[in-house]
Amino acid sequence: MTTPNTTDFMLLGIAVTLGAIALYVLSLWWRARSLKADEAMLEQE
Amino acid sequence: MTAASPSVAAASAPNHLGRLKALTAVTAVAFLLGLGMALAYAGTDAIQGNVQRLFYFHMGAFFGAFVAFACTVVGGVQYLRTRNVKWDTFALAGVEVGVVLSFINLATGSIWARPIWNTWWTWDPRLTSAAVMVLVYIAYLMVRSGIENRDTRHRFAAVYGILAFSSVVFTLVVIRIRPDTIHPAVIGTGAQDAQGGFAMNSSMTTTLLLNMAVWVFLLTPTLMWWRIRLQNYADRVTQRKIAYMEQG
Repeated sequence: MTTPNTTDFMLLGIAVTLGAIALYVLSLWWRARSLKADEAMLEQE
Repeated sequence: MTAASPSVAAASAPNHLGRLKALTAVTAVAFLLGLGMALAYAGTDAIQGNVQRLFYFHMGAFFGAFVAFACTVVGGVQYLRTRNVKWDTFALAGVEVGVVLSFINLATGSIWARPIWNTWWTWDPRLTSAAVMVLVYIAYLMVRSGIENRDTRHRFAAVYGILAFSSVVFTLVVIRIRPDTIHPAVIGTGAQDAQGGFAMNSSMTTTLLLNMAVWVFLLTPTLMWWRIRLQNYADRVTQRKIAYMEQG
């Protein structure tokens, strides 16, 4: 029996997994950055 | 006494940034180790080929989401008991992280299904209940953000978060109670019509257990902790904005 070549699907799955985690972490960082900007504006005023 | 104000809760919360950074570093190393074991250590499934390796993340993501949603239940119950806003923040972090992990679970399952079931998606009982579960928690985030009154929002979120967990439990057990599902059960005996199951050798079992531990005990708590920190920061900034507006 020959093992099917499903490597492309494995790579796609890993890319989606890492990409989703990275996007979420990026969204946390982006929101924190936005809050920092708000805080800095409050301090200026 | 009713809920502590966000500013009081946030200001009195210990910082622990050093610990969180250390946990994040440990999580990153353990995650890479799990990924490396999935790619290089675990044996290749003779029938499915390399795509079977996605199961290590697929299952880890589901059980990570399960723990995150369970945290939402704990947060909801504790909020209703104590009215302390820190429990609402805990519950919110559980939902957000749980939705991300559930998405990974659904996406990796769909990608695995394409070569094994010859379709990206089918309305199987397990797949359908998993999709409904994600939608239930996305609705939590949407409805919650639409409620202006803070106390109403927290109370609603607590009750919704507790009730929503029934969709998680149903998704977990549906492959044991519905005989017509084609979703395989990796642990234990699945339905008679299950397609795509596989027998695990010792290297596969070790890799699966390590990845499950990383997703459940490291990745989920780390992401939730960062989300809680962000919410505490957001609450502090909101309080400062309110104070600024009241001044003038």
